[in-house]
Parts: sequence; structure tokens; C-alpha cells
Amino acid sequence: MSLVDASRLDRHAYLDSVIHRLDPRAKVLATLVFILAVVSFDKYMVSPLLPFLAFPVVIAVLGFVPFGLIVRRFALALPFILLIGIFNPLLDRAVMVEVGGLHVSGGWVSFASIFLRGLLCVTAGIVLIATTSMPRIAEALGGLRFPRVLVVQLLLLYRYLFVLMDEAGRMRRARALRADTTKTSIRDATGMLTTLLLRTVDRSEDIWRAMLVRGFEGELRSPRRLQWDSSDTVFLVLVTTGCVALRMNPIANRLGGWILNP
Amino acid sequence: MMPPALDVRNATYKYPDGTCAIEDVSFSVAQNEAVALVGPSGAGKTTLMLSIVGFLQLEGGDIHVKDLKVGKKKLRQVRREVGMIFQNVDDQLFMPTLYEDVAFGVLNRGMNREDLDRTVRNALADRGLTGLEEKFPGHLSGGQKRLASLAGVLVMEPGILLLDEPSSNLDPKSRRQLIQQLADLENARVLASHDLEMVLDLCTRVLVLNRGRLVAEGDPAHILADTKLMESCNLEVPHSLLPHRFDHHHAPQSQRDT
Repeated sequence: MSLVDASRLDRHAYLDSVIHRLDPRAKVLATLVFILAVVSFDKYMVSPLLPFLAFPVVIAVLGFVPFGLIVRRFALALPFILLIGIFNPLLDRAVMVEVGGLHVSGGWVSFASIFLRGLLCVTAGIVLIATTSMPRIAEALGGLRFPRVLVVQLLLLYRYLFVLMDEAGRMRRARALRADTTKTSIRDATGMLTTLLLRTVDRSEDIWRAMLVRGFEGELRSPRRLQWDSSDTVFLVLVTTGCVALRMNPIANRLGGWILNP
Repeated sequence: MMPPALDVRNATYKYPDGTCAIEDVSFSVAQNEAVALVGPSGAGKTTLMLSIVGFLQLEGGDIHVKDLKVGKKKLRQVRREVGMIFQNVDDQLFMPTLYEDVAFGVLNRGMNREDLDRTVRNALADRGLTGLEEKFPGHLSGGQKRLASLAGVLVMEPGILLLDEPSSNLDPKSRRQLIQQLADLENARVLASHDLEMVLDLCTRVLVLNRGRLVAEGDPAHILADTKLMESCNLEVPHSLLPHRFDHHHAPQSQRDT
């Protein structure tokens, strides 16, 4: 499922929308600002994080990214997020708040905060990838003076992911045509994975050779010029101002305060 | 006198397990000449091509591309002179759009951006691919992919073009189109292929490899019609060179009775 979704996500990156047309540097910077703002909150903060959901939602709507796709991609990251916070309720048992007569410990509050921060950061990353192709993200990172080695690694990882997908798809179809059952035993799966790895290594070598023979020397150059215009500035200023405002002035907390103490 | 575009002298290469992939192979290719490498699977055709572009280091002998000896020291210059189309064309098209893929090689050569757009668009137009610039190469048809890979290599203006099984997986129309495009080129061409009809259409000389050795060399119409030689190399005489183009069972009744 994940590889198929990766392909769908990649196809979305080549659509045309107001978000797709933005300079990738603006989108990468905006996402970094957003993530920094989200992770900078105290570990017991939950409600001030809620308004930040507006960022991925607005970008997804304007960029035509289906919510189902975002949910499925987020589901892949969910186990890692849960793993980070799962021990908090066990380690931090001091009651922190009371909700409808129910005592909630600090551990559960921090767990909720970790979950929410994970949700925000991962979905921000997903909408970035769904509205900006990986080569454009790499261009942006190059333009922002990220180390060249990392940028090339990112691009090669992206290219070989599709090689892996191709090979895995072929093997799965070949197996389905000859197998009596849809279930795969551990023995079969191990054999298939080994073959997949060997075939992928072979194909990766061919791609590498094709790149070398066309003069590749460690730097992927793009024929496109990055063009920063006023809409990029407006976008980045809006996101940065919004993030700073929400960070400095937790609206949800105030709203809660006004509701409880009118 | 003009040096040959490619000169291979006593080339020998062994796999790490000791198997001899090519043994004492010698030949040369003149400027503008189209030469075919034919032989059964495992004869050493691809190994020879990979040695020419310096991906494999010979155990013995040497290869010269124009006046450059293929080796680690001159690899960059050699690869400026040699373009290669790989058998699996999907592995050759690795950039996100066709335009970027064709631009890949010339950008690596440091072409300035003022000339780049014109050069890339001309290269695509020459292969009949205008209008597909923003297409993801993986979504092109088999024939278009082959032409796209050709555009990506020819835009770099190589002196020698190596083509490894260029007609594999092509439908008849795309194959015909590719042959036409390759026939119009003026570069020296080395074509490794099982498609012997294509060899007859394109090449003025054929080299037959068998078990890593060069067993015959000469005019394609003559060499490929040699039934004994072809059988000894697990090859078949191309249909167009058979003395009787139709076998007995397909001939009209009147001819069968005679």
C-alpha cells in the first residue's frame, strides 16, 4: 500500500494549482517554519496546537490533495509517533487536569501533545511532497544551500524507490498468477525479498551507469531556474506571521478561557 | 589519415569467477560507420560495450576512442565521445520530465542556460517528440521511450553511439521508425542486436561474437547468410536472406504440386 501511495503522492506533485506554482523554496521554508513553531511548544500543550491544523488543511484544499491519501500516508507514520509517546502515561501519573470529573494525568496530556505534534508535522510534510515534486524539493534545498551530498542522496533515494516499486509490482503479479493462495508464507516472502533486493541492485547499477555515461559527477543540475516572485513572498510572510502569532498568542487557550470565564 | 572512431585491440575480460566474457577481440570502427555486434545471449556483446565506456576494466588488450585510451585517467573525455543507449530504456530515463531528461547530459557538460532551451527543444524535435516536454518519461510508449533515450544521448553530440538491443520490446511501427532515425545519423554506430533484419538495414559491417571470441567479420548480407556459421553460433539466418521466402506449406497449391 505504501509504495502505491508514494506513487500517487508523486503524481499529485505534478498537478497545477496555486500551491504547485509557488517557488519550492517558499514551500520548504514555510514548512520548516511551521514545524519549528509546532515543536517549540511545551510538552503539556495541547489546545494551542489545534489552530495549526489550518495550515495542512488549507494547503491540501488549495493543492487538490485528497484527504484520504493524507490519512493513509499518516497511518504509516502513526506507529512511530505512538512509540515515542506511549510510555508517558506510565511514567508521569500526576493528575494534571480534570475533564468532566475524569482525572487526566500529565502523561496522557503529554502523549496527546506528542500525537498532535506528530500529526501536524507529518501532514505538513505530506502536503509539501504532494504539491512539490521531489526534484523541485531538492532544487529548493540546493538553493537554500543544504549540503550537496544530502540533496543528491535524497534524489537518488527517490529514483530508486520507483525502481523498487516496479520490481516489487512485477514479482507480485508473477506470484499471483502462479500461487494457489493470496497468503504469503514467511519462507516465500523471504525468498521474494532476497530476489527483489538482487534485482533492484542490478537495475540501480544500470541507472547509475546511464547517469555516469551522460556526464554525471555528483551534482544534479536542473534546467529550470528557481523564480521567486511576490506571491512567494506573500505566502511565506503569511505562514510565518500566522505561525508566530499562534505561537506567541495561543488562541485556543484564550478561547477556552473566554468560554469558561465569560 | 583520420584515426578510427573506435579501435579495440586484443580485448580480454574475465568475470570475477574466472569465466572469460571476451577473449582477444580486435576490430575498429571508422568515423560515420555503422557496425553490428551479433551473437547468441552471453556472447559478450554487452560486456564489450561496457568496456568501451570504461565500466569494466579489461584484463588484457586496450581500447581507443579516437586517440584516447579507455582507462581511469581519460574516462571523462572518453564518455564525452561515446554515447550509449542501454537495453532497458526505463533505466536510461531517470529524470521527472522528458525535457529535464534530455537536458541532463548537456547540463552536466556545463552548457549555459541561454543555449540550453534551444538545444533541448531541437533535440526533441529531431526525434519527433515535440509537445511531450513535460511528460513523465515512464508514461511514454515503448517507441517514444526509445526515441527519448536517443534524444538524451544525441544532444551530447557523441562521436560514437553504442546501442544495446535498440529494438527490444518495440512494436513493428516503432521499430521501423527507430531504424529510419538511426539510418539518418552520421555518428559512428556500434549496434549489439539479435534483430538481424535491423542489422541488415543499418549496418555496413557485422562482427559475430561467440563465447567471447570474434568468429567472423564482414559484409552483413554475406556473413548472416552463412547457414553453417549462423548455426554454429546459435543464430538463425534472417528471413530476408533465406533463398525461399515462403516455406512449402504456405506456398500456393500450384507451386506445391510442381
